[in-house]
Amino acid sequence: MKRYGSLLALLMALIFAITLTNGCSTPKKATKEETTSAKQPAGPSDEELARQKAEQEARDRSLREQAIRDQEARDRAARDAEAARLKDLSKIYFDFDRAELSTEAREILNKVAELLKASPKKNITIEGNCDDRGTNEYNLALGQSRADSAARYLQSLGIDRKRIKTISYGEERPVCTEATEACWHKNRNATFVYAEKK
Amino acid sequence: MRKNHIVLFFVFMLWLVAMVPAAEGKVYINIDSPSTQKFPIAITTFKNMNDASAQESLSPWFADTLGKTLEITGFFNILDRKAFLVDQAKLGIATENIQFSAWSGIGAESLVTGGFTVNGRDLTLECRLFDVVQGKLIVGKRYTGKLEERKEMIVRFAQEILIALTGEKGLFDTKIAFAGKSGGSSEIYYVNFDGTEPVKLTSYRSITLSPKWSPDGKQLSFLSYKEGAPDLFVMDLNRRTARKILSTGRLNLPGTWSADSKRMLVTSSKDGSEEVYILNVADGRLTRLTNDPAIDVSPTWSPDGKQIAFVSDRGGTPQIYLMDASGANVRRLTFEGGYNTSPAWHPRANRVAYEGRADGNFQVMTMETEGGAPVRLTINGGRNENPAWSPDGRYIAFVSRMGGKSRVCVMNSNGTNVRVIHEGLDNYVSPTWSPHLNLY
Repeated sequence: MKRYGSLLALLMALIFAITLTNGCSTPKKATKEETTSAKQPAGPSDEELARQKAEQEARDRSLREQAIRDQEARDRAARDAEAARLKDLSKIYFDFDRAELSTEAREILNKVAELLKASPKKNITIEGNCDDRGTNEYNLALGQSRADSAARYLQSLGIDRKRIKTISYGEERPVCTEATEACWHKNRNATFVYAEKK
Repeated sequence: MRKNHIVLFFVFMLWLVAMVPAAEGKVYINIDSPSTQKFPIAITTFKNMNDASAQESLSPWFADTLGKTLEITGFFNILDRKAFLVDQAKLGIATENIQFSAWSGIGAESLVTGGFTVNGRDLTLECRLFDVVQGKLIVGKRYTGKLEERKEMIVRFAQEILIALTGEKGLFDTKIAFAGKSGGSSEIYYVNFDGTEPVKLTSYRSITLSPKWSPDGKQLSFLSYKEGAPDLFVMDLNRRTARKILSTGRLNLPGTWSADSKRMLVTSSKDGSEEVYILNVADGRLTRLTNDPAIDVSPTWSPDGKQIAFVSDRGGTPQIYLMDASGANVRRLTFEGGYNTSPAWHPRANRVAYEGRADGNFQVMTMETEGGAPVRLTINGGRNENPAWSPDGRYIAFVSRMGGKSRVCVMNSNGTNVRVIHEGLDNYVSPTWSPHLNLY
């Protein structure tokens, strides 16, 4: 994820540089034309002035547009970075038939707590999920236990319980359906869904 | 259903031709014995009594339909008509016409003969069941009704045969409900005991699970996320309308109903961890029974209502526990396999069916509630889960998953005669067997 981030930054710098180069070439050309026209004895005609004015306006417009595009790109980058951060903070995984938090799960939850503290308008829904082995009723209960484990830990880190919602989907919402340990692992999770308070 | 029953009651004027009670205490088929041999029965083509040639095809139809109906019970070996030595329809179908030696000679222990008279749309059907060994009539019935009611007439006589030979009328008037999953959502369905006439009861396009049939046969409770959270609903099966009975913003799961259909065991995490409660259906009042930080789930009452079996992981792994109806005297029942869930209490015995791990897979097992060794019932290579007893305790419905396919199956309570009653959806869970619905 980190590597992609720096690649993205590099790419954006490159695009920005190219845009700048293009932007500079236009006024240069205009200056040259001005010099040529200055050689004429009668000074600039009305037509020439009108043309120059139009050119100046076009330049202004293009600069304004440039500025807006830059702002949009910055916004988009910020949004992407936020989404990437939330994606990193979107799931923790569990062992078969267990609801206890692993060390990795606690590390992720620590960051979730930081995020929630930094953005007080954010609420979190914790969805408990299970792999499809065992009984679906028991797994519904197990999914609730998993979501509750994560919720209790966030509370212990100082997050208000009112900002945390839990729901169990048991084995009913699998990410994958193969009967392999890799797939079962993916399905034994608590998934975090963030929402901004209005 | 009620209406249908009343219509049948009036339309079918049922005359007793002869009723010889099964000789005192004589049990032809002891179906509770684990080593029951299939009972050999011969069914002749039915005699076309007014020779309406247009109805000739009914002669084998009656015999075939009765044969198929009896075969579903798993108790009968329906003898091949090609092996018959005499044409009983030609010789006559009453006791004095029966050549018993010709039937005992091909290994039959029972014989069914029948005759029918068609007048326009009216049908009169006569059926007789004989004890071939003793050479006597066991039961005879005459049914009158409309031609299109002929299947019901056959099912009624099949019930008579079962009462005469096993002491009980069988399960032809029962249905099995289950949750079927497809395309990311699950809905509740039911089918007849033999898998015919599937009906989709819900179309919520949500997650809807764990149907439980009320003992009065009129209602089905289930869990649905249709309003976002896992809430409990009860469906009125006549009106097909559902009302929400428990919503806590947290997990709620239905358990079994009380015998009077007024209360229900439920699991709820409303107070924190998953606990077992009794829910008063009329007013939604909850009485808490368990008190443990572990998961307590899937409660099922004993038939006398004095005990409850449930699943708890308070010992570290999910196991079956028993407690008194008050919640006191909790004791662990299962110890083997490390994962035992889905208890279903036998309707007439101190026995629990459940799913446990064996040979690396989940299998349907039973155990006496006094404890003892688990008895494994399913032996195929797949996963076999969610057992549900028939109201007479003679069959178990369950979900079988094998080769990537999921099916709802029924087997005899000794694990034999497995047959598929629904397949084709992505996945099935939690079958529940109706009580007798008195459809015939």
